[in-house]
Amino acid sequence: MIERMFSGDTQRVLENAMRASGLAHEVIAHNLANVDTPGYKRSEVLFQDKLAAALAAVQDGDDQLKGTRTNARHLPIGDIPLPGDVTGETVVRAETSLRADGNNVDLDAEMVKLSENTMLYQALAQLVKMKMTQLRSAISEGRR
Amino acid sequence: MNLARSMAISGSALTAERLRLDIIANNLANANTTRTPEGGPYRRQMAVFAPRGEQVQFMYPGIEPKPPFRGQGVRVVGIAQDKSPFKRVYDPGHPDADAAGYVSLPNVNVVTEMVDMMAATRAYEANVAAVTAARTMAERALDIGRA
Repeated sequence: MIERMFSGDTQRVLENAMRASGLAHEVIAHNLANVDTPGYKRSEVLFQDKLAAALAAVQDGDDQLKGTRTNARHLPIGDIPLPGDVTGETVVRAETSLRADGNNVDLDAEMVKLSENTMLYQALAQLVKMKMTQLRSAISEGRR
Repeated sequence: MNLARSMAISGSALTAERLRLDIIANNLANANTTRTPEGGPYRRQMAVFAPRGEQVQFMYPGIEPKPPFRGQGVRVVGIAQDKSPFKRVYDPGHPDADAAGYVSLPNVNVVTEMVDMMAATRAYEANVAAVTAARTMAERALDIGRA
């Protein structure tokens, strides 16, 4: 009971989302740091798509069929994690080039992503805070 | 999120862009220097940037990259000299003129330097914005525990 208080599904998704958003900030800062590095390819963090896939899998109930991986080089089959286990993943976007030197960091796009990510992080922090307020309210039996 | 790591990434970029600005300022200051300790006119210099930290360039979809990607910012790997030829200007009265009356002037193009300077300034500003954003995020995270 008491461990469920801080490790419920909502709590874990929020925690992982904040962690992924923090990682996304690091990745965006790294892209911005290398805006003038010849041949540098930008990276980004995948989280929302993975979480959406995990939620859809739970809803459709199609998370039954799973391939067992006995080797790290096996391809995963139906290995969609539970929503609470989804974490952010960094991928390199090497398909495009923006300039003649092979760099593909678009300064404007990165700045938009930076402010977007900052706002997302703040919203998540707000949600965690609200969750804590709920808990506190339950602990104090509704009294302030 | 690791505030210190984010700050270190942006900080490395601020250092690199500042060094680049220093080099541009040096190029502009020496746009007309005809005597150097190595002999001959001044040669234009350039900062060479390279990413810091391991880069995973290729991976299979769905498989976690190992070791996980961790960028650590940017670093200046060296200061290179521009190998392009010097400007030749006819000025027989100049103390460094050759027998034919021509003076070799540095291969510094003031317009190119000004454009590079603007690019470096913009990049610097972008990284300052990243530092500010990291601080805002950390402040908001600290706010969670507050009643």
